[in-house]
Amino acid sequence: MKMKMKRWMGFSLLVSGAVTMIPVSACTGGKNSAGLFFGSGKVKKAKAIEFWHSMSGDKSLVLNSIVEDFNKDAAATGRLPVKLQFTGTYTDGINKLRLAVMGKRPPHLAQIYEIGTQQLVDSGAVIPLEDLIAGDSEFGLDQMLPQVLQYYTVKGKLHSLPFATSNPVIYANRDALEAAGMTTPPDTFEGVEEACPRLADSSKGRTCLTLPLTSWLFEQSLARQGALLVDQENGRSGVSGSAIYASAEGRFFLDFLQRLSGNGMFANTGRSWDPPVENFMAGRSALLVTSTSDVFVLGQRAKFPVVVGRFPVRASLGPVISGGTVLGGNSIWAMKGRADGEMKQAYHFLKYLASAPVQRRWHVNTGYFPIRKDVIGALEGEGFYAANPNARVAVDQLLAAPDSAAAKGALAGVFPELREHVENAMEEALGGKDGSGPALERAQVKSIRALQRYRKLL
Amino acid sequence: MSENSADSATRSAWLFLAPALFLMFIFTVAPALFSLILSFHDFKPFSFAMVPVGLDQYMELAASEDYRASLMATLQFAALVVPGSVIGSLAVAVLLDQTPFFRSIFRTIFLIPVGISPAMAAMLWVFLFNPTSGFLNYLLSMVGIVGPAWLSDPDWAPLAVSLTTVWKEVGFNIIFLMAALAQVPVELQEAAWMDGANALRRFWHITLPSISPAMFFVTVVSVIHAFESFGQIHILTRGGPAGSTGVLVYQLFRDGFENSRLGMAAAEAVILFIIIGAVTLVQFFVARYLKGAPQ
Repeated sequence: MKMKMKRWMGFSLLVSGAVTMIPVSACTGGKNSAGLFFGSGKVKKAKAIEFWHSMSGDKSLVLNSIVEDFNKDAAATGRLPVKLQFTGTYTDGINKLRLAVMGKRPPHLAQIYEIGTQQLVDSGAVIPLEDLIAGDSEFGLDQMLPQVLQYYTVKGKLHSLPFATSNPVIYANRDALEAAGMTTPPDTFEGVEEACPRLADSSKGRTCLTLPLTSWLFEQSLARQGALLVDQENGRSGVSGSAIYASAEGRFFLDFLQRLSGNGMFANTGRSWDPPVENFMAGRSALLVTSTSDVFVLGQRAKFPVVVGRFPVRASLGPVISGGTVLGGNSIWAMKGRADGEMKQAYHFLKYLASAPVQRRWHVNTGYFPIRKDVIGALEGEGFYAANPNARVAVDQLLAAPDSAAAKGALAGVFPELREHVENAMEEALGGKDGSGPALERAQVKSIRALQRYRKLL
Repeated sequence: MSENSADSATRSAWLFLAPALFLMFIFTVAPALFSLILSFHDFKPFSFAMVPVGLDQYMELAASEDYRASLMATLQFAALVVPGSVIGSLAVAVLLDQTPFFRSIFRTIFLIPVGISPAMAAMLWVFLFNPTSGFLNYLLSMVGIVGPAWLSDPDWAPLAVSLTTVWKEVGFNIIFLMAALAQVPVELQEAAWMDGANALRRFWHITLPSISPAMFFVTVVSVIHAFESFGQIHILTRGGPAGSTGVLVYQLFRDGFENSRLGMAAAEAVILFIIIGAVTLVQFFVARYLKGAPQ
């Protein structure tokens, strides 16, 4: 009897252990067991430059063709080709990179989302791009937009190559606008609210506004009001230890959504990025706020004409448009741990990506904006923007961004966690469980704890 | 002589078990033990530099209202999924057992969800649940009901996620229940029928006791599955809205792989291990108390 009982206990513990404990530890490892889990042999000589990226769908096709062209040239000149490796979402991508660095087998280059910037700077596992450029004037740094470079310039040094850069814009269904007697989407939040009853049409099952419930838009609304997200000048003058959400500026965007939601004017489809776009394209919402990187796809696939406007400002701040929008998207990092000769070739590839022809190709095929002045100038001269005014909006918005800490955007080592807390607050406020003030205050307390823990760890 | 042969039998048994045990040690036991060590450490970004923090992470979890909310979300999820999938699959299995003609085709239909990966299945449901263009609310609108925002309303999201899980679980469970139903002695059923027992009584007094080992197995596995559900939650709600579907495994994933807190995630894994171990043990004891030990 005793024996039997023991056997069940053993069995049940084994079963439950098997399902719970593997996931974390199988993916980590430790100082002593690093060898066991990863092998600790030296990195072999590479046959190709490994480039890990997170582009999917149409964007990955564009990236593939850009790299293919590079490789054709590389084959002709005896250089190493570039091997693209898709590593999943941005979150998956940074995790895989972290494990690769811990296992001492990093790729040469990795594309990482903008909110991973501080973590990578602090990791000591990267080579700052400026060190690789080392004064090479052919790289064309002087042609690059300061509004773009400033985001990835940390501790006075450009750390990575801004590649897929975007900001938020407002998309409008022109049919709905015309029915409401308008030609362009409202440029203020107050204007959106005022126009909403006319833009919505319940007989057609159309609400006024839809957007992904992401912290990114909350951060943009703060920046647009000239407010900071974290202290230390948004983490730009030092490692931040405090978050600032529960301010009047912070509550403004949540209150706006809460009011629209209460009137049935806001189609809340949750945190994901795709459902609001689907909603808008199906004609179920008159307005959509999301990244400019959807601009070409939306224009081609929507069954109605689309008009794009700048991310709204807050009218009550007065006539002065105080802040810009913050750069979103990702950048490409050069990793330590590979042979110097290989990194020289990797740099050659980065230079190719930053070159005017590639930047132009990337921009006109994806909607991410170019990082070079000469590309914008040339497209302008050829009448590209006159023919595609929607693509021009994000560029104008970017160029109008002031040189302020708010517009530079925040840096934080625990940024993904901050986003989680903010998004929870957004959901709490919209779910009607609580007002925006208490919800944001709770998020702020948790975020401050995270920021301080990170600071202590460094 | 006999002792010798028993000895060598034991020895060869170990020999045959050795490869499996070795792999199990490498891939299950060692990482599990390592999780325990990890749970007392924090990491600097991107490095193996472990910073010992003692019980700090466990203390933080104990004090965290988010973690308590996550525990409640898990219990709520299990309370919706386990009865739903066990009773649902029993009903389906019995119906299929009674209708031999349709059995194979419907069994196949019910098995399809098991074959689809959780991510694919959840993607399907994302479309079905869409509040404005989804099929579910379209059906509801045909009978004049304005459907809820399934995935973005904190009151409905747990139900929506549970529904998806039950839909997937039922196919898995009916495999075992149908096999057990096929083993129920026909003589017993016939004898009871001769004695005038109606269908309900025959089910309650003959079928159910006969398949109770399978029911027990299905229940235990459903509970464990409920506690370790991840894929569908990740796709459908990412733990939201407002944490309403943020079950323990999801919290663990988020801390480990979004917030880069591997030590914290390990501490959560240890706690989850203890919880699932305890729940499973309790189930074994209850089963033994009710009806002797399962074999």
